[in-house]
Amino acid sequence: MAIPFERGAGEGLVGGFAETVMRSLSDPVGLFRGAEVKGVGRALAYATAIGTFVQCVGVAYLLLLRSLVDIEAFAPEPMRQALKDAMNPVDLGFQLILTPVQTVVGVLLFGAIAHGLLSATGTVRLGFEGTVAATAYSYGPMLLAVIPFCGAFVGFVWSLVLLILGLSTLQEAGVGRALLATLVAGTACCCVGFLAQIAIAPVVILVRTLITG
Amino acid sequence: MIAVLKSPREFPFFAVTAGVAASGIAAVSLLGLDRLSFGICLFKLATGLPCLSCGTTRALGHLAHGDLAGAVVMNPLFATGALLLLALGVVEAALRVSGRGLRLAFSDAQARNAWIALAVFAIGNWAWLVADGR
Repeated sequence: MAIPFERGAGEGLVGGFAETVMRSLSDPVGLFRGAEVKGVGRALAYATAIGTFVQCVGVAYLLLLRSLVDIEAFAPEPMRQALKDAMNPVDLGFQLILTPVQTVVGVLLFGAIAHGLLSATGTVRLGFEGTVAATAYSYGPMLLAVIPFCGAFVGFVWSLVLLILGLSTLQEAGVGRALLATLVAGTACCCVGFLAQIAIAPVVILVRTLITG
Repeated sequence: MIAVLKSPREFPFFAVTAGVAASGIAAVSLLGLDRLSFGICLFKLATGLPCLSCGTTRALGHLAHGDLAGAVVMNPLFATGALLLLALGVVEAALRVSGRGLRLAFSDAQARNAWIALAVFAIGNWAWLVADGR
């Protein structure tokens, strides 16, 4: 049995995508139980599509709010410059361009660390592609970010639970090992992401200065 | 409503979700996110009014220090939700140890009433946050 988005192209990518999202929300155990995975391409495409869409929604909400009110004027001093920079077109452009890359790298990095841990602590049903698939197909609830204010938070928590469920069910690894893998791989990815932000900040500032003067 | 199962479910939803929530609560306390000197809610920055979830981080900070009343006062909806989730998680984990499980089962009428109650609670919560000057 395959995850809907993993089926052949003839059955419709959009339909498979929608069915995967719906089943990840309504029947997550059924989605992952005994599923077969062919490679990492489809899974990465699924996560990238959702990650990019969610980022676009976030930017759209920010720009919409900014068009309605002068956010910087309301913001307290410590946040004023950060908000101004974050809403600079150059920074927003960088965010949107880098999101697909960040998603692919993030899923692969998380998958590699988590798979290493799952393999080191016992048997796994599928290879690396199974761990990547569990990671990528846990992105579905992040679409709740379209709900203003608390949607992104609820979606994030739900995705985290779905990730643990995916690892434990798809890889038949057990909840304890899935929790451990999520905790360690998640912490490592957060550290790498933080360092990457620091590394890329000078480039963003340089480009912003060159464009805006 | 709440049913105790004779065998554990394949995946302990409540226990895992409660674990994620507990990790979040611990992170809020350890990183001092509930003690920031400025707000980060764009809705409040723009309108001057709190949003539905304003005070949630501080409520989680109160929960981390065992101050349940302080947490409920800070944001009744999210504090109650977090407490309910943690309780369900602990119960499910305890039942799982003894080879049993837990599930919530609602009839259509019960589900409808639950959604209505949640909507009323959310509106009341927002009114409280506005009145309390969150």
